[in-house]
Amino acid sequence: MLFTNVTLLALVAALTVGYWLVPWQRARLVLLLSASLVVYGWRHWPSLGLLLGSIAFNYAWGRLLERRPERALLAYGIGMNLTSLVWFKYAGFIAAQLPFDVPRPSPWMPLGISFFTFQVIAYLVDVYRKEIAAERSLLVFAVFKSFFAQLVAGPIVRGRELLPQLRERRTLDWGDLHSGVMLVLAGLFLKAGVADLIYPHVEHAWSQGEAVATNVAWLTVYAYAAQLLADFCAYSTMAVGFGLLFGLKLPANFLHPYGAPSLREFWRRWHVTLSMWLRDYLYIPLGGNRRHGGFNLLVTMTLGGLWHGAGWTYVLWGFLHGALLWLERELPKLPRWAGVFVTFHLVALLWVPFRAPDLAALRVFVKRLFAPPYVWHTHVDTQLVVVTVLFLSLQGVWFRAFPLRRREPARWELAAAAALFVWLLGAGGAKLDFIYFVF
Amino acid sequence: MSHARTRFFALLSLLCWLFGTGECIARFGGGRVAAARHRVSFKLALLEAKGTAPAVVLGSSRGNDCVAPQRIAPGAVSLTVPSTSLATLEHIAARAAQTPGLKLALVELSRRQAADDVADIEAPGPQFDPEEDPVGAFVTRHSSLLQHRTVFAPENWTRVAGLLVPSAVDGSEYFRSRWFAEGLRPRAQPAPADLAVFIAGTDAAAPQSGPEWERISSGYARVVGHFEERGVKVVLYATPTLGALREEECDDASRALRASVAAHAGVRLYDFTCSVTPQAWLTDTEGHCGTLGRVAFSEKLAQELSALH
Repeated sequence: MLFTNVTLLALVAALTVGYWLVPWQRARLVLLLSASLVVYGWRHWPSLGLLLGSIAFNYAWGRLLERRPERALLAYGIGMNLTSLVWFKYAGFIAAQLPFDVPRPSPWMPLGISFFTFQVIAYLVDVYRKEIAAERSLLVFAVFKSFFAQLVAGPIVRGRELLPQLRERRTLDWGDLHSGVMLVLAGLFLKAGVADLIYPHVEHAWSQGEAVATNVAWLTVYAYAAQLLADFCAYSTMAVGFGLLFGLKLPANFLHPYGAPSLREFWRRWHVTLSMWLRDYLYIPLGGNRRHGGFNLLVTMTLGGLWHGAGWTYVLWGFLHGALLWLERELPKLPRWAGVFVTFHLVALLWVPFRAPDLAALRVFVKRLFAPPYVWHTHVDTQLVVVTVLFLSLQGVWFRAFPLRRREPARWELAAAAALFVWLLGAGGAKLDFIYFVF
Repeated sequence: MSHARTRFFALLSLLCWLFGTGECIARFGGGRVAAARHRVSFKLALLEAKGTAPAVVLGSSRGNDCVAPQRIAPGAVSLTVPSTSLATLEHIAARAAQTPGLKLALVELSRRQAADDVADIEAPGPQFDPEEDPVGAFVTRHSSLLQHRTVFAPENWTRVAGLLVPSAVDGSEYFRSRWFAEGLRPRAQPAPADLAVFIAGTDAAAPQSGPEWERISSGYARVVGHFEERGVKVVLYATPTLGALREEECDDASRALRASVAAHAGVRLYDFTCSVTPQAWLTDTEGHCGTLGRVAFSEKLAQELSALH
């Protein structure tokens, strides 16, 4: 079920009331688990089988790893999780690369499989490293794995962050409730009011192939940078908001990424929970900075690219980020303002392979950006320009305002809430899935 | 009550109040503003809000961009709509003909305006898939605010403003896709001598036949009929073109077709399709005038119309 779905919002409202009226923690968890399973299975109920199977397996494997912390057991647990990820997400891609015909697996891909696979791999590794204790309660573990706010597109919440919160009975905090509603409203605005307004123009420009004018192609680069940030940040903001409605604090996934003065800093601010995951469970085990730091970066980022999607364009995107991060380590540091300028434009350009449907389309689009003939088309949609420029200019203000701070004065909030509400009404509701739903 | 609790309930109350007030306005008095959802219903609502108009301009986005109604007659209103069709034109003509004080109707004659599409005259409300979002579908069915909510879409804000202050606009301001592009162009007035580039076609009507001819000629005859029934004079016009569009619309067959449609309807045609105008007067190859082209073409049309009187 989409986060922008009125049915989901109604369900969450009812669930919030029920959750705080019920005095027992176990009953609250049962409510959360039931709602999460309904939300996850709404579009494709057979996916529930995979989710429940994964919950059962990883719960048992965590307990086993705690008793027998052996590397082989850990490898087997990770292998099992990666097998389902590879089967559902990459089997078609792998089969397409083979020089001979093999039966292609079903195109069905369970929602959020990349996210919840990484979440449980982190859990198993943390248990193995004895950083956390294996969860005793199957109910708590099931909610940890399936909590609807973070199940489909993150944030990738670690066991040490969420499990203690699920175990303890929380008391109603009106401040959290207030922030939760505000963040859900803000997320809805980013999705329906910004990302979905930009989407048709970006799609149209990409569908034009060689016919796209040079200025429109460049505008599309920045429009997509705005669309992607608004779309993904919308989901994460709503996820944090939903969590707060139930007194659960989920980590923020975006910290003004386009204001980063370097690529290294960008990755500390963009999709923070994935970056931390890649650092802790891939980059450091590979050797981190201690030996072959640059090469480790390249491998980590390339695999990070592949995590985003089964396609060479994603691999290329990850590889380019890795290569530039490596290069950045060797270059002198730029003044902050220059760093922000260069980093933003580099990141926006690197979204081109990320957005490209395939390598052929990527080649055509890059040619339209850099190669003659340089065609200038004056018939540029005002709405696209206004929304893109406004969003990119004001994102700093946005990230200063959200997530909300408790002590902040309330005087601007009601005006902002009214403006967001009216804009949302006009946007007519989100028409599209979140971009990260396909990852 | 704690500060946090007060803030929470203030926020919740605000959202409920906004929804409730919006619902009341939409249910009991939002008819006119609701027209801002669609380009056709908006133009007709604007005309209605103005009450009277001495002249109206009908046509596609080409007519919208190339004809400034105030240069034709003070108080004239543009009812042009982009992505139009002959069926849409008929719908607008039938309604516009009833305007009190109307003396003149300028109607665009072009392939675009004569397109064989269904009449697109009303925006459907936002839809929810009852299977995907049953609550959304249910609430929308029972809420006037949700049914009309696209009025609040940014692209409709200027239309709402126009309906609230109809005297401030003439209906031709709404070519939103070019506000930005036009802002980058130099502003200058064309000299009177420049208007000499507009040479109206003098093609004679030729015998036509076939279903396409029948459709176009009878459609335009009905449009003209709506106005003439009310004693309104009708003039057909065709705007200048560039490039491939000129090749398409300036050949012998197209010119003869336009002349024949005008003759069949029994009205005067000012056909400037084949006029060779400076390239800067048009913003693209679709026949859309820029600011200079708009001023020049409107001036020329006004001169021709004053000579007609």
